[in-house]
Amino acid sequence: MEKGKHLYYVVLVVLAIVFPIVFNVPFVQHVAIMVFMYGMLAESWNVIGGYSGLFSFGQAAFFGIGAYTSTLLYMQLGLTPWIGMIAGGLVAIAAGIAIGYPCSKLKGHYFAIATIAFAWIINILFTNWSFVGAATGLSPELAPADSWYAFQFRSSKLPYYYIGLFLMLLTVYVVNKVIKSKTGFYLRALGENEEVAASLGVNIAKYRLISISIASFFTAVAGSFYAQYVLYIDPPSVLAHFLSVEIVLIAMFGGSGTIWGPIWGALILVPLSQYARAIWGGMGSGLDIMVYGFVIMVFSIFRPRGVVSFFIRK
Amino acid sequence: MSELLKVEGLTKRFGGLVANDDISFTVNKGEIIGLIGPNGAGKTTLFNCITGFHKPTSGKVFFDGRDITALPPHRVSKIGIARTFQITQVFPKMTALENVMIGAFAMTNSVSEAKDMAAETLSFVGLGKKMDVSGESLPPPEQRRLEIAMALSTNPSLLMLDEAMAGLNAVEIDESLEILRKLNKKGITLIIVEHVMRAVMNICKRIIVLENGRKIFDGEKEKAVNDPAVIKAYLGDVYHAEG
Amino acid sequence: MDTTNLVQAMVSGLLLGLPYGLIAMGLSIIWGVMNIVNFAHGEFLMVSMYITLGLYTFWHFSPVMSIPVSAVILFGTGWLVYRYIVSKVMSGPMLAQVVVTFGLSAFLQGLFLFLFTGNYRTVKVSGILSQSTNIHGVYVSYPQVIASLITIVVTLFLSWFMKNTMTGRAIMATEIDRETAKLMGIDTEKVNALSFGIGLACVGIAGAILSSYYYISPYVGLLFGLMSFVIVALGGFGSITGAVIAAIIIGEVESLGGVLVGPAYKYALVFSLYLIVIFIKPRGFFGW
Repeated sequence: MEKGKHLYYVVLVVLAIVFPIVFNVPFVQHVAIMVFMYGMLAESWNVIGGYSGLFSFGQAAFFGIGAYTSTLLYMQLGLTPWIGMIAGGLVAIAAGIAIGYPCSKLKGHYFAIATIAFAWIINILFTNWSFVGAATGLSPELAPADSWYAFQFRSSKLPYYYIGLFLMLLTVYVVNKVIKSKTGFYLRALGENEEVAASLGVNIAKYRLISISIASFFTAVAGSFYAQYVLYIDPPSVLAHFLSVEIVLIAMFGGSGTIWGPIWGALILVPLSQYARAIWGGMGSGLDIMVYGFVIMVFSIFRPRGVVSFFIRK
Repeated sequence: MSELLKVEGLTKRFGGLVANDDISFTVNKGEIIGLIGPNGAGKTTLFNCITGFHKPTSGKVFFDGRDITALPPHRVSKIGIARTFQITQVFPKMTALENVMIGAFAMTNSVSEAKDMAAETLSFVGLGKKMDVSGESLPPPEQRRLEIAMALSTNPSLLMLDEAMAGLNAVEIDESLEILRKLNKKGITLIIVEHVMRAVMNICKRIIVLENGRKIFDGEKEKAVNDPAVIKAYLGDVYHAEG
Repeated sequence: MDTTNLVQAMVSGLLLGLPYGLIAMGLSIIWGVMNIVNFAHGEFLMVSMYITLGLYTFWHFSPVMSIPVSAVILFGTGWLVYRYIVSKVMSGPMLAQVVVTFGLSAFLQGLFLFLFTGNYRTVKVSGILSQSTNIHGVYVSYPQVIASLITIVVTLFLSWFMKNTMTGRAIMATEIDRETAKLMGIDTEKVNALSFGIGLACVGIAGAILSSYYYISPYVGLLFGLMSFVIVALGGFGSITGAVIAAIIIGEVESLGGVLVGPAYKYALVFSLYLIVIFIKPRGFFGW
């Protein structure tokens, strides 16, 4: 059973590697890159929201922190975004602890609203802070040619495709490792019943922060990746409230609290929204958001455990 | 006999309500103590104060000679006090085995070791065949036993059970009592809050009676039966009624 | 800052805060009774504003005349939303309960964006709704005063309603202890639907009157929604007066913060205040 499952995933990964060569269409590749990015974001959220029961609706803050940190380090110090990416992750961990610590007693809706408020504060600060470009945003100087050091590739989307795929799989790998470890058991315990967990020796505050840190780190890494992909960031694109909401919806749609659920969510919802945007979005019509919202409602009602619940018989 | 737990002048107020009023007692190693009293007497609050879920308004709690009054629940668990809850609390989506593993992780960082330890503890409480059943799918009497297994898996020297026999039938009560006796033989000290008087009278030598937050009796159970204050407060009706 | 400016800022804060209270009180009732946060709350405010715009465009209704119409439509909408959407997730996982109204908010936002584009619109008002006055140098606009008065009237009415009618008491009882209320023969499903209706009716009233001095766009609900979450979390869920008091505090922070620190940061201050309060009291000012 386990063996068969492994083979199944190996086949999928091989397909993912061959895919952009077969479908050498920029838009298709772009959609795939977005799938990887959102997959990574939803999987990160899964750690806090899916396993630990902390419904964060402010992940955009960490995404933005990642995007801004790596871009600023590159623009100000010429530091390669690869290191900037890790620096962004670390800054995001610090920010996550800064907000997570005071919220250590909040649960459910209260936690959700606190995270929304936090993300708005970050958004407002960045919108008015001239060092980070304020409302105009930041765009790093373009490298003369494709460059691994500058993390810029303009002749083809393929490098972004493979980097995105790698980052997403790395996230899945790490999350899976964590969840199968003692820490993962403790996180799940938090998500199910904090009182009992505490009575069994689980340090609630500490493991909440661990959970928030893991999610913040990978969310920020995705933010840096995005910044290098579009090479232009501003608060509406990387600190938007809707981004936070999207992340949760994708995770939930696919099936939060399972390893592959969030990835399935991204695989289905992201192309749906990208194509909807491409078809209808040009007119600023809102149809894409509408379809999105509708799908979410239907799933909340009929399939609250997400797409993966089609495959798991209980 | 050496002293394990010492509660000194413990008082807990919620607003104007005094839930525990200047309670003092000691528990020696190896004892089985019954903590009884009518509803609202403050038994659960006392449990919560000892195990760190509530901060006492005043008074002190010592365990093994160490002041543990201000410790948070997870630290209290680490030093060897385990508890169960009045309303059964398990991890609903986790399997029985995983439920117990959470406690076993107090002893080890290795998943496979925790698994082995948890399996052993589950078998000890007679749930060896239910390892893969999720917490919420177990029938209530088995959830009670799962809770005991979870508490046990932290390797406590003091186990505090809050109405672990509520809702059990006579056979199940006997099974539970058997488990508790075995635990006591292993050297685990027990404090049990119980409404099922047959159970208390059967297993405890010493009982402590609370009424309105105060300790009104502390001594051998035979004496409790004849103590006018206890009879008046509580024991009389219930004990005779259950007979 | 001189006295006039300070008074001006405080008066503005009060007039800003009170209507927030009207929106928040609707959210608070829903939250208190069902333990569900209606994340589409701000979007329903937006819907109510478009209703007011429509009534104005086609029949030249003034926003004040739209109040009863909008309240009734939103009440009905609330009832239906509960029956056909929210009630279906009440027994499901917590996450579904949180997410379903997010889906609804995205749906409504997208729908109105599709129907009316993202352009800002206004209801052209005349008469008292277009006027303002100056009391010893303190500028006061009448529509804001009217909105604030309406908030006070609704607050008093709802407080009376909750205490003195059978329906109101049934709602209160459900809020305190759902299981016992059920045992007492209260139809809690009906109470839920009713509460949702009342909650949205508050928003219907607020939206109509706010249309007289706010721009209308599909995104208008975002900020108002967020403000009302913060207010309810501060005021303690389920509390009507708590919501109004918290709303005034928030209005003052927004107004004074705008003057003292800078308008750009006023919302950051509001949200920071919220985070500080919940750090100290996780259940809000008036919660336990």
